[in-house]
Amino acid sequence: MTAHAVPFARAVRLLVRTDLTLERRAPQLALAMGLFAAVAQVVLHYGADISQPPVSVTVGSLWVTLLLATLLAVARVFNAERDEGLLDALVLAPIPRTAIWAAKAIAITALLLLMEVVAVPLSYLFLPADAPVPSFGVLLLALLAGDLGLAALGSLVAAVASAVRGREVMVPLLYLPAAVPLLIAALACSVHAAAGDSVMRPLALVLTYDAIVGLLAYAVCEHALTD
Amino acid sequence: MTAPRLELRGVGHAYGGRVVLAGVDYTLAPGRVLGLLGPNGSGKSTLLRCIAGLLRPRAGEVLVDGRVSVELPPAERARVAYAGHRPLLWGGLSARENLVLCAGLYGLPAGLADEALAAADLVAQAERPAAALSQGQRQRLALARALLPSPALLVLDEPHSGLDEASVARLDALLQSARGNLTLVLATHERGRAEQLCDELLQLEVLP
Repeated sequence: MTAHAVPFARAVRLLVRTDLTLERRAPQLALAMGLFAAVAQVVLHYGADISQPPVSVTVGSLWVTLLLATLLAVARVFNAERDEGLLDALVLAPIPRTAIWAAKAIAITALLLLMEVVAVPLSYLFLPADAPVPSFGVLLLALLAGDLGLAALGSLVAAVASAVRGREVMVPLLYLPAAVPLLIAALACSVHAAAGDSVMRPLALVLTYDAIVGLLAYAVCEHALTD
Repeated sequence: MTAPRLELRGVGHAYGGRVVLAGVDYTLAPGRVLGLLGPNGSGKSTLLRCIAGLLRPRAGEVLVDGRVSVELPPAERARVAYAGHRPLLWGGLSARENLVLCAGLYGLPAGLADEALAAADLVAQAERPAAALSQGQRQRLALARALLPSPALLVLDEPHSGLDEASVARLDALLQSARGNLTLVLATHERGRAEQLCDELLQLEVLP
């Protein structure tokens, strides 16, 4: 019985299952992200000192929380693996290296969605009483598209930075500016969703951004993960 | 004449401005065991990472079966296995889960994990998290993981480091049982052990 190359989808499935199993057994990251989301939402609300904040402020604070939470997750699921040498095991395996990036992006997206279970209801508590109730499906779609973008970008930046010294500094330096266009589009998408308006245009922008990050990852991951 | 399994052609590497390897040439035939000797800082680990395809040397090239190691396509990566200072194991997964994951990543049936556990004498520890194993058990599990895909070339970075005599003996027994046509490159500080295990030795020195 000889080893052979493993297809992309199968490798991604194996790696996502591993990450989520580890997180289920020791849910430090999910707890940290949930706590961070709750504290950030409360502090941003009371710090703004606006009794009836507009929808854009409330949704904006939600996205800032998600942006920073992604950094937490990236540090945990990617850099920790590098520090423990596990990335070597994955780089040597006969799998497309893009699968490592994709699996990390999906695992981070899952954690972000879990965090939103705390963050979204909290942020809606702070909306004006007469604010329209958004369509749950549209809001979920907007959040999912934005989460995917943040997670994909975070994983890509972590993959590129993983081979360089000082990656703890490099990741936020590369990630935060690069996330700005996505954040603007995702914010517009969520504000439209929260206001009950059509989200087609901002959602298309978010999905375009996600696709561009995916193409970039496909182009660089095969080489970026070796020193 | 047999084609070499491993060729080092003028391999050099530096970290920042500090040169750790320069002009290393060597050829190793299939089935041979090469021991890398040298003090700390002589570039043993760096050379092993270059051989494994984890590090692109700044100068020269490393060829495995005639192909540049760092550019092996996915289908051929299983020919090279590596176990470093760190065991390359998921501490939160059990010993069996680590091997099942490894089998999955190499396109092998999960059932091979049990055979590998038995060969490494780790059946009793199969359900324990890798992080909870002793140093010797972890090293044997790491070696079992590296051997699972039946590589042609095995690269080991100080596999005996931190082990007591009994653990060393069990690890060496596992290595011996895996021999056959396996080509092995291992780094060690201990000349005596290297002379015992290896067919050839390559001495590296700290560069000024």
